[in-house]
Amino acid sequence: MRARVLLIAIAVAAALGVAAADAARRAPGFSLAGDSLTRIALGVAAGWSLIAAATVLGASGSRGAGRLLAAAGCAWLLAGLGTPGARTAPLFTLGLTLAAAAPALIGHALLVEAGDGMRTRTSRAVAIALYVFLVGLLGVLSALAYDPATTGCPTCPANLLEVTDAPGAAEELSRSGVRLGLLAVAACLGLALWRMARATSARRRRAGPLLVPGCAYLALVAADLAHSWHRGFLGSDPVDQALWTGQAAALLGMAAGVALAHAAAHRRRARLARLVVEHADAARPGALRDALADILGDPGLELLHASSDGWIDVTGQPRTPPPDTATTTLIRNAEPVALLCHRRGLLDDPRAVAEIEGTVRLGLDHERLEAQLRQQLAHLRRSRADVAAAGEAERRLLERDLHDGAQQRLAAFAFAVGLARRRAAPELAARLERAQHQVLEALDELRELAHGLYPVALAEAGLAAAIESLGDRRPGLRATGLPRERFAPAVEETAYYVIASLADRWTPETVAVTAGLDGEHLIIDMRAATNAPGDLVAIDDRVGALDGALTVETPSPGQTRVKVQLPCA
Amino acid sequence: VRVIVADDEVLLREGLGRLLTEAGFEVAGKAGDAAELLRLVELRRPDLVVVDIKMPPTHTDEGLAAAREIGDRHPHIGVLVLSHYLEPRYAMRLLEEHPERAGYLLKDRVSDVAVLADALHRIGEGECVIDPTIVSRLVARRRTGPLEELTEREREVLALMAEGHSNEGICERLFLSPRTVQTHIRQIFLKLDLRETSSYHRRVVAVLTFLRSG
Repeated sequence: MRARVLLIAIAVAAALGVAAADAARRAPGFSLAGDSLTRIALGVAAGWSLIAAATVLGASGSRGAGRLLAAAGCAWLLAGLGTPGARTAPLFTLGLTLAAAAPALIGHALLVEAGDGMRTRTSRAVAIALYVFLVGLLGVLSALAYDPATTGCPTCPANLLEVTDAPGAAEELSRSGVRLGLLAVAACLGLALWRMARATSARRRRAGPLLVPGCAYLALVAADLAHSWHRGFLGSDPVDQALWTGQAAALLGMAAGVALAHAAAHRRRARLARLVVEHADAARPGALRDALADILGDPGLELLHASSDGWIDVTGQPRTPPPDTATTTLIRNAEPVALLCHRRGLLDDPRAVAEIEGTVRLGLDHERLEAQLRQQLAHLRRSRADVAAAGEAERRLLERDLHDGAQQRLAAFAFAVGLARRRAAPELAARLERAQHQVLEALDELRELAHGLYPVALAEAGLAAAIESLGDRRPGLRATGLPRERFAPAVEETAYYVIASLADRWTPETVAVTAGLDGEHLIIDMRAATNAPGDLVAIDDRVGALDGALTVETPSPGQTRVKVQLPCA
Repeated sequence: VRVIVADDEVLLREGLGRLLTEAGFEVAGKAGDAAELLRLVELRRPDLVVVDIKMPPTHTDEGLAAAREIGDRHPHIGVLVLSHYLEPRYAMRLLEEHPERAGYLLKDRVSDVAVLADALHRIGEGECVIDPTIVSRLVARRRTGPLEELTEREREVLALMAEGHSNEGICERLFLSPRTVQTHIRQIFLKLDLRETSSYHRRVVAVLTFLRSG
């Protein structure tokens, strides 16, 4: 379908171009191009390039503006046929009626591109005025009363629209058409310029290449209409010819502008596409944001992803859009998938947004899934850390309960027995002494139990002191170089848990422990002459809860080395 | 000999009081927390104080803090700190802050009236007394620093010094002559690089070195 439309457009454009060139060659005196071959070629090239630009514009989403430009290109070529050079009456008549149609169509197209279509009443009124005055009045109506044969052009083909030969009326209609047309063109030019001035920088950047030469063209048309003010009709004197040449150049400029914008968009798409490929290769978190910020030219641009509980950044942290930025939601299947926070006006153009949605789809999916994964990981980690902390708190409470309760009561009981022993008869005293021993043994066991639940040294004096105290109870534990500084309770508790559990597990082997600070990490290094590190899942869980890492090595057969890294900044 | 007892647990406070009376001490006052203890000390000027390490309000080291305060104001008053914890740290801190006439014993240890009386008498004589379980754990630790140079026998002597035994006590326990014990002690001071000053002070420093060595 599109190919057929394109073929027809090419055929029509070619035919019109040839006809216009032919007419100019046949009647150079009446032609705006004069007798210069270069100028003829320039005129034809302007028409053709406008039609070519229109197809490009239509294909890249500006359907309305594209059609208008294609029609304008045709009208421009046809305007050259309203002379004795036209070979047939229909072409001559078309050329006569559409002599000033190109400015109307181009003015309309500029209004479409400068604003958001034709939504305002002013835009619609100006466009209607352009058509009514330039095509209706100056073209069709004045043609109705125009007889070329009686008005100084005996060689002209017949005017098929001629209803009556009334030179006076034709002249009056034409004069009004010129004057009112000038006003309409001036209004259109003013409106287009005003719209441009008020537009966002992004829209200006995008529409500028078309609008600037377009406005120049309208200005030249206005100048020619002003030049025709007294004359009352469109002529072909040297001034007209010079202005026409300028118009042709402006039309070429418009076509070039469309091509430039198209090439820029293409380049941007190519970069976006390359970005997706690169992103899939090396999925560095945040690479997508950096690339979008680079391509869209907004260094402060932020990319947030959708999650079940609001927007999150690439690390999975919940985020709200920063203040003083505009936001654009990227939508897929009616679901928001991402939020771009950017400079105001950067993405006012729905086409640019659609382009981003289309091209970065893969990368966006990839990064969103990763962000969501990180968010879930963070949730998981937090809950694991919470569970561990709750467990520690519980053990600490138990230790305190034991100390303040059972240990105190047993000690008081031991005092009472000790006292009773002193006063008892020898036989009873001996039995009481045995009882006292049992109480003291029970107290010893209770003390060890309490220490196992929670070493009081850990909270009061830190990891090194607690491990020293542990070493008194586990003669196989050899701790050296433990850092004396204090860390967050969760870090100290986890480090203690790791060392105590491994020391327990590897008993009766000698276990060597060293620990040190490496930047923002506490590194615990434990070695033992054992083949079996045992099941380390519980330890790994505790380490993982703090976002730490556990590695197991076998430096030599029969040796096991466990390294634990805990963030402690 | 007049003693003030401080423990937040009534049962223990009363029990201690009775034990002390039984051992022949005069209980000059009983306190439930550190503030009351300090007030009573000012008021009654006892010879000795027996204090629980953990008391209100924070239940951490109120007893140690009170011992320090008493030592600063009245160096002649001996302090025995009782605790459920086998932590050399606590003993070390006590001796650092209250270098003479101080002792750290497990609470249940003093249920034996003889042990309590012995410890208090030794503290009263100016020595320091560390719980034997803590001392034996320290002996078991691998030594670093100057203590490495001590012989096995010298280490034994030092451990007994830490427990608060006098030279005669050490002679009895190790079945050595007083001269030999004297020689060992001189060797210990020499190896730990402790110059001649008051001999009490040197004993405390030697014990502190021992406690710190863990």
